[in-house]
Amino acid sequence: MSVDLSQFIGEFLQESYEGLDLMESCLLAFDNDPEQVDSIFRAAHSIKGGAGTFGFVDVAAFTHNVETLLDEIRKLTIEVDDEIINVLLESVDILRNMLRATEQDEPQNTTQIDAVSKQLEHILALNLQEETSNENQAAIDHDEEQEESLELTEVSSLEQQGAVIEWQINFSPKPQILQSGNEPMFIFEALAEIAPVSITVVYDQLPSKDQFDSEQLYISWVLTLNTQELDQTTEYIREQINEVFEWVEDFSDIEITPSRYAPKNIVQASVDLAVEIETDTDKATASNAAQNEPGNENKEQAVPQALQDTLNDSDAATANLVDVCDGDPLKSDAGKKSPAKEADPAKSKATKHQGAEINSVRVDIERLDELMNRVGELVVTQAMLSQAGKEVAKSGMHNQRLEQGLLQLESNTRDLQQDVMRMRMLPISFVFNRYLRLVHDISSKLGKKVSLKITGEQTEIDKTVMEKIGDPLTHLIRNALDHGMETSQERIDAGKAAKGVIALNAYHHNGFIVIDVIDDGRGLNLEKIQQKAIQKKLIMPDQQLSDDELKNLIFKPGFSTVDQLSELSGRGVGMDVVLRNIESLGGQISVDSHQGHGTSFSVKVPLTLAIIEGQLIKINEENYVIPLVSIIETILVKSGDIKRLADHDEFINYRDEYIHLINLAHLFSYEKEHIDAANNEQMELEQDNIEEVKLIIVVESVGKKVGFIVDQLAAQQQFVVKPLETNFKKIPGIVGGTILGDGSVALILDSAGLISHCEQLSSQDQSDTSALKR
Amino acid sequence: MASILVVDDSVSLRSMLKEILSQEGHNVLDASDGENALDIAQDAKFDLVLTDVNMPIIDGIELCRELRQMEDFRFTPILIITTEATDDMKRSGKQAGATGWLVKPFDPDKLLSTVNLLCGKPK
Repeated sequence: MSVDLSQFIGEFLQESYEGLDLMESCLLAFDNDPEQVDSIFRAAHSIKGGAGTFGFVDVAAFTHNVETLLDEIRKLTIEVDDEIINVLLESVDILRNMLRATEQDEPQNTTQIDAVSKQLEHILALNLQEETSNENQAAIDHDEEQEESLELTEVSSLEQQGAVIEWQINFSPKPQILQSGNEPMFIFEALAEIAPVSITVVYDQLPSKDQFDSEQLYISWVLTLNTQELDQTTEYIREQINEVFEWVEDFSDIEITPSRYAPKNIVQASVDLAVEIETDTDKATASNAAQNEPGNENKEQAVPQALQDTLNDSDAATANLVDVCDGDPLKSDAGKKSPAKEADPAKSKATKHQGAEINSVRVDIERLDELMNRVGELVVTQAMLSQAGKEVAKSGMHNQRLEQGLLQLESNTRDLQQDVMRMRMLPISFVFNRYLRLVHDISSKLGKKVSLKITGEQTEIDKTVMEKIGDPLTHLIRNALDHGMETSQERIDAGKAAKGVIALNAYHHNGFIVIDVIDDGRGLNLEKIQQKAIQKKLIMPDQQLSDDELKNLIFKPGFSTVDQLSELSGRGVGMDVVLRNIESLGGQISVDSHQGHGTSFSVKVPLTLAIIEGQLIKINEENYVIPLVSIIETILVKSGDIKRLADHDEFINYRDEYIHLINLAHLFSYEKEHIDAANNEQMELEQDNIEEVKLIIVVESVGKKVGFIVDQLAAQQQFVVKPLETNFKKIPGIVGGTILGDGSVALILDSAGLISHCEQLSSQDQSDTSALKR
Repeated sequence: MASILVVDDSVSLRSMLKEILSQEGHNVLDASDGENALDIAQDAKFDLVLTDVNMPIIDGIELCRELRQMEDFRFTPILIITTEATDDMKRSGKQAGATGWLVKPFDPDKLLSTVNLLCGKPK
């Protein structure tokens, strides 16, 4: 056998992890629905089967216990309570670890496995004690056992007479045996593989011609198996013979009796036959031997060769039967095409999703990434060609075919890009579903009653974004459970339902995916936040802050309102890390809260990291892109409206709010002369009281608004993001680069990064200037 | 060469069976569950059906029963693949019209010899 089973292990593991996820989510939402139990059982069952096949003995053994328990649940002999759910959930964890250890070739954590195994066995043992009432079944089992042991004694008593060298098998199939798919010829072939066989046909039961049903079998056989040459025990041979007839024993009368013994011949048992035709033993054996040689026999002939030989040798009475056999009774169904009588379109449609699997292909995500990259290149090339086409057109050389081709190329490229992007999209339920377990585990650990309500789990999101969104969401949910949620008593006292609800919603909005994490807990305590911020020196004691500003303080590094770091959420990572993670995805997070009514976080991330919607701008004649997600609006401001504080800090009054201005040309250190010149010019202009207008893009990050001063606005479009980190070190404030239609490169700015970078600069500046002053 | 329908809801098991049987020269089609198998069975004939028992919607036993009702599958050998060859299982399998069973985990050689038993040796 040359098939290497190991090539299927990866697939098996993948499938098993999915099965475990399914088990977990079913267990978490368990409500005794029989279909649910079936799904859980099936998942465990598949893992067991696969593990056995691939030789993961320990996994198979452990799963067997789980499966046994699930089977009892399925049979309703065990009632499911919280304890059982928890043990099963632990089993899921154990299996996951076991598979992972197997995958990575690591040793198994046997103490853990044993502990859970013991629990499973304990539950099963308890159940068994209760089951003693089922005595009838036990009695039947007992009888069967006795029967078997009788058979054995029979054999061993025979053995005392010497080894059996010949067996006689009276094989009388019931007429309908063919309907079970069994084919006597193949049985004879299998028998012939054990030892030489001679076959006698008994056809006394043949009906008259008009009553003959070609789909029934009317003949029986007497087979003689010569085991003289075999070097095996009688018992073993008997077992082998039994095995051959195992599948047909219900459809036939089978008598297997030793007919000759080694030391001396024993009188052959008489067989009650109305008509007896002894086959030419040599011939039958020869035909059996012939069948063993590939290519020697015409298999399409459905009538057993041995049978036909027999029939041909027999007297005229059999001619009738041969005719019938030539009519091919065994394959009489072959030519007819069944009308699709079982077709029930409604039914098959309802379960179409089940069959959908067969039409899908698993592709390594790396290959999709490569494809995406290639398409990205194509988009750039297409943009270049478009540009070139326009230039050609501008020069007056109109070529209709070229222009049409370019238009088609553009639309095809766009479609292709979208198709590839869609391929990378997965429903966010992959992430959401794991939180069911998280909420279940943590709330029971904290002694709080909380349920998780998920909506929009079918919303699709790029796989890469999904992988990165998991951690921040986990943190938000942990926080909600730990800090946001009150205990049941507190909730009842506050006039709320005892069971808290955390809602997880996902939806698409303007090319972004928005995920809301909403709890109905106690809400943010703004006073406490303020005190804490003062204590941590994040704000000045006398600083006046709006409610929004107070709420957003929780995203500051080093902020934590809980005095004791709890085991759950306070692992030294705070909301600042959540913020950073989301911003690194080009996303945003905002918080809203009403004391006593709960807190809601809204996370907004792009659908994909490969392409961004952006605003092309020019600074000092060079191109940059600002992601659209952070832009609030673009305004023109008269120079006179710009207020200056201290040395360089500039502000404007933007909708009754003072916002900081960042001069990007200054920040990116364009030639001093240019800026100085501009400044001087501006000074002069100001002195001349002629109002110059500045272009300002107002961006927002974490509730903080900032204005970027830019020179020029250009197109608003999609840009294919090229990461810079593969070739350069990470630059704060820059997320990547992109290639424009004319082939030039533009850097993509990261608003949040720029803002925090400027804050650091200005605090440095302040210390620098104060140092200078000293 | 026989044409064989493999029915199993586990992708890895299915592709493994497919590989083993195709290497032996058989023509293999596969289905992800009983429902799917019945769909396929409407349009194709097979020399052998191998089916798992535990599957959603239509399980292996039910599949046997349904196939036996179809003109093209009245005499087709149907082999049940199961992890537990209990007497109960065997009985219900046979009552449903199954030809025989194969106990998981099986080794490829055993599978092939059983397939040969049911549809003859490959040419």
